[in-house]
Amino acid sequence: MSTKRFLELVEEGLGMPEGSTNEGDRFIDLEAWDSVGALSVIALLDEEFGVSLDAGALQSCNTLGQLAGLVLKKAA
Amino acid sequence: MAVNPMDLSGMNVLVTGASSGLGRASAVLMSQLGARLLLLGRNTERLQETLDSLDGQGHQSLAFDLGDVAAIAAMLDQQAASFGKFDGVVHAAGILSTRPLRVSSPDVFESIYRINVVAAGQLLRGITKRSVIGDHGCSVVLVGSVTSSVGVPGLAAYAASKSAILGLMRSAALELAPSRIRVNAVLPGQFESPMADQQWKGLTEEQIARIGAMHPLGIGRASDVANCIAFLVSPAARWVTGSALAVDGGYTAH
Repeated sequence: MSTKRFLELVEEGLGMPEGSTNEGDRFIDLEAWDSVGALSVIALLDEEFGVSLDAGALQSCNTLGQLAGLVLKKAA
Repeated sequence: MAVNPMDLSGMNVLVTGASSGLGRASAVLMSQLGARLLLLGRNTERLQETLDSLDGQGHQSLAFDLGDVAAIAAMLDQQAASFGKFDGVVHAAGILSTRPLRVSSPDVFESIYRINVVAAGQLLRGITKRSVIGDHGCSVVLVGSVTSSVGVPGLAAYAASKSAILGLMRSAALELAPSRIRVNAVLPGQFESPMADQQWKGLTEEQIARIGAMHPLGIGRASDVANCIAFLVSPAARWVTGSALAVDGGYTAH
């Protein structure tokens, strides 16, 4: 899993323009981050990487980079 | 003498999605009521687990992928010849996918429709053949959902498929009544099941608690829904067809 691909999926899930996110971005600063956005990102990560995330796991991450790390760990 | 209007003795019943959740609960209950079951599912091991938990004798299981919709009618034909003619069919197999619209591609819609709707239609098609059903007709139970009448964000494709089930059920009930085939649906609210676990995966505890609070009688159990399925299969429901039975702890009474 590349970080680039991870960010692409986050952008797709949140309906954000391509290339508009970075690993350092905090979820609470992303305007498009809401419950439906979270469900969309969870669905896409599950489909692409076979990683099943629950809401608790998501809440434990402050930044996109932290979530990428979590997905990488689970996918390994 | 004790009378049980839900006695299923002497009835052969096919259950799809029998390897877990509602399908398994329905199969177990109907076996306790005297039915002989043919269990359908994809996972042989889990089908065996269901088979092992049935009461009575003569039950069988068949590993079959309902996604192969073109093969369903022929499968019924073959099974009627080998297992026996069907007096009841319960379509408990279903796909639930929490997919907000933004990530609901045509593939998402089509994969959900294939199992939830097209397979149901092909099961109904299969039993139109006289040699497939018992001498006293057949009772078909489809599994709908409260989402056919009350929306849920993230479940648009699923809800659309469950709404389609209702249209299918009513027209089939009219078309097949002359052949003494009854067609009904149960519309479950939220009950404990592997499917619910999957749906709740992306929700916070607070969101799950809110869903529970929307059910005046609380979250249900698979057995609550299985009881209603068994009723619709049984002779107790001989005058019931084209009916959608809400089994939702009051969710849609609001």
